[in-house]
Amino acid sequence: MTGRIKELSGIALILLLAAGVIHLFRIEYLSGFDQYFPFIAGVVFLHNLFPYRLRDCLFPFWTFALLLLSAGVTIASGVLGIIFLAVAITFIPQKGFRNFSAFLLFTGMIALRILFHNEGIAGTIITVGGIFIMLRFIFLLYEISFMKVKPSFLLRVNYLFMLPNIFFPLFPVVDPLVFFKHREEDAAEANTQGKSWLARGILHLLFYRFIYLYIAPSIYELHSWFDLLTFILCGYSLILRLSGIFYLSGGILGLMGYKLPPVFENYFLVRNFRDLWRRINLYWRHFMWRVFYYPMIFKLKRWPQKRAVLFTVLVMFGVTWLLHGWQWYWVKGFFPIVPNDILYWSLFGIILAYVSVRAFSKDKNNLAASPFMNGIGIVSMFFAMSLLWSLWTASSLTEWLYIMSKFSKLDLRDSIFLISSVIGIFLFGGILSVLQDKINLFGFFVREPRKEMKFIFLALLIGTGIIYKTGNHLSDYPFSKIVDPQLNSFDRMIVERGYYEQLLTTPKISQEINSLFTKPEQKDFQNPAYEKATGLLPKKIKPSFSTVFKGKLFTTNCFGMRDRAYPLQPDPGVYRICLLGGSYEMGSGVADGEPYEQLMEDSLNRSGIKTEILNMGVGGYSLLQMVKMADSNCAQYSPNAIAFVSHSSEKQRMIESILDLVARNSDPEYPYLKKVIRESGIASKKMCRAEMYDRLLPYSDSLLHWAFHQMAESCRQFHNQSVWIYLPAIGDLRADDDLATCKAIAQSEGFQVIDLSNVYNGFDNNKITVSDEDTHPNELGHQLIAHELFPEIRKKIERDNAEFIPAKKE
Amino acid sequence: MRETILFLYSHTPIANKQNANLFAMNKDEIRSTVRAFLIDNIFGGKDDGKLQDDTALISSRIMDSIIALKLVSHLEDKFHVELEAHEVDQDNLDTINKMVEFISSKGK
Repeated sequence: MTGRIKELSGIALILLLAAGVIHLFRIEYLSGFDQYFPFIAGVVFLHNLFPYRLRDCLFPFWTFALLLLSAGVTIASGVLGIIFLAVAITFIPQKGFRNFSAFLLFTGMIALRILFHNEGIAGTIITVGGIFIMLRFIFLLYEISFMKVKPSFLLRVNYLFMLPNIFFPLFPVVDPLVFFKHREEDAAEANTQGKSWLARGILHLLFYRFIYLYIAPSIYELHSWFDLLTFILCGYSLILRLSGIFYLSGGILGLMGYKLPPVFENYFLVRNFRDLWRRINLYWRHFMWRVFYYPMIFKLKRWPQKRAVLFTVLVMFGVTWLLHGWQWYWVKGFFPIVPNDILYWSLFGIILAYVSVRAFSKDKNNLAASPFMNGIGIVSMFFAMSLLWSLWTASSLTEWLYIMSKFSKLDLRDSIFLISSVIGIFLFGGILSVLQDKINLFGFFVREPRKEMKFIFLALLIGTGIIYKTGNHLSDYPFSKIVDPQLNSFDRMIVERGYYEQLLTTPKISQEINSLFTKPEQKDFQNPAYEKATGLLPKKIKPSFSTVFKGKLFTTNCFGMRDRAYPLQPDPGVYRICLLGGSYEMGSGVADGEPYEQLMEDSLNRSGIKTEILNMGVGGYSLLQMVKMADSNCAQYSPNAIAFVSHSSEKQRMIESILDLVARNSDPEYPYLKKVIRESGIASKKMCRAEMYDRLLPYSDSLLHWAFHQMAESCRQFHNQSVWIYLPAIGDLRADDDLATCKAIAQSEGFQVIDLSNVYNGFDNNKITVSDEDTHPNELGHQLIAHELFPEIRKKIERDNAEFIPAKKE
Repeated sequence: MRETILFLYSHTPIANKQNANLFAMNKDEIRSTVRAFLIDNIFGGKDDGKLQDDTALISSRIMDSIIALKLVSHLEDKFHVELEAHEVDQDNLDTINKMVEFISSKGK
């Protein structure tokens, strides 16, 4: 009895600590895992309270309950229906008919998915059901033929309907033989392993977050040998997210009594490709061995052995590519056929085929090597894998080749630094390995940690999280983004670009953005109020239109502004401002009447100044579009002033706008822009975006000057006194180097400058943004902006247009 | 002499399985054959006591698919048994002890 209480206390303690860390650090917040973990923890604990013999019956019930909670009764029931159908198929006695039925099930699901356009409740049921069965069903179908003792219906349901799979679509392909063999005798060991894996998963995900947010450079920032080296090496390190997710999943299953074999084994310490295949994603390797490799090579027994091995390995990697596409299809909705993807798997397959045939030819295999060579081997493999990984994860083959070409363009000094660093890393690896062999240098880290370590580790994390979260300003703490996660600067830029539609069909995007897109919330580009436009303007807002956007009422006036109705010309005595801007100004994510422009207009009117602020903000607009709007659109409303708003990194935004313009093959309209495009030689069909970006970068200063000058010219046309407002994007990681330049140019062009750099001071990002993924200001955020901007605008009116200021009553 | 008899006998039209069984059932011979193979192919020919009869080979990832395949081929040749693809797993080939039992049972 005491033992049982001790065991339950241990489980409760680890779950509590893990829940604390997952909540404070918002682990896997994009999939909603952090929000649901308290329920998962509760379910896991309850599961352990029941006698072991009942737990198999309860397992699918918990999964169903969590699915019910997170997706609703219809979706949960629909998914369970698919699982039942799949399990029923595994009971068909005849192998051929069984496999054919499985084929029909998948085909039917794909047909329905196409029919429902991947949307709505039906589309979600098919997608989630597909994610549950996409690989494990195939594994089960294969193994079921050879099982001497056939598992019960319930066990088969449990195998396909695993609880952590709800939150992690990319889930380890658990071996059914291992899963069905769980025994009461192993439950204590499974629990111990589950505790360790839970802590290890969290550690991996935090490491991943640190590299993702603070070390990995964007492809637009690769200017020196160090940037290039860091870029290549960091890319592969980001595999930590996959291992973190797999350990978390395995940890939860372990705490529910399922003892699973290791998922990874020190995959950063592999010495050669054969070793890599032995240690990285072991479940995948095992799945491939069982279902494809051995059956095929046994069928080729009559072939000469080396030829059979060569052929089988190559085919196996072809199948691996297909199955990765298959997974991608169920997670994202389309099968990616990307040259660099094909090239990556082909290269990997050829290397492994060569290594396998070579190993097969040897009479004696000795896997041991000298410690120094082991160290060199480890470093070499890390470099080789980083290089291959960079190819795999590049958005296109052209982009990867472009990045690689940067190595050849390094000057002599940079080349010497690069080569010396690489040699240094190799030697360092070799020496560390020798020291490890002689004096067990890493003994402390390598040996199995004490049982209490995972508790201490999680408790320390909780302490850190609490200190960070209870401090006055989270952003003042070092590495605060580890606690308050967000997209890194590159992903953020991609999302902010505004042309999200392209991303939906782009297979190569970061895992973070992918998570973002698999969330059901409405994205910016999905605003039904947008319609296509021409030339510099990629889109505009439909006039007199009402819709619900991001769950909020979104109404436009007859001029196509997200604003209240105004006459074309202002009434006498009314001070009119045209406000030009992007999604912040348009009020993405807040309801009608809540954008800061309307709040400020109300405040000015209440203070006695009859004011009309015309909201001409459109999501995705940068300075380039504002130039066009000021030039062609503002005059008809006879404004007294034009106010235009820039957010962080304006140069980058302008370059991105030109790249999108070129990608859309639209007319740049202005001779200067045409000249820049011509002179820079950018062409979307011939080069990758990174190269085009680099080619435009030297023009960024002159583009800024041109844009501000054009704005000034437009304003002068109708003797307008205008304002440039700097409003930083919330939580932007990028240091805004452009602010000083923009300010100086704006002042030299005669604009009044309003700098709202400190507008969010004292507020944590998550309190003033629409949601975790949507960093547009929420209602409170808009109130803050209006509160800061109101006195500045009032001062401007008092100074330039005193006639609009009501006379003070005597 | 014994090898010669086995060779001649195994190439007569009489069922291979039947004649192979005469020798395949000798567990000690299976054990020593398997051990010699593993020491050559995994431990570079050095028997320094690392390989015990219950040393896990597949589950601890000492033996990879290439060595497993060579082992299968070796066992099939030596003991005139035929292995199926699904039989190459931890249940049958994880330790020397398991291999001995499995090959013996194949010959029965």
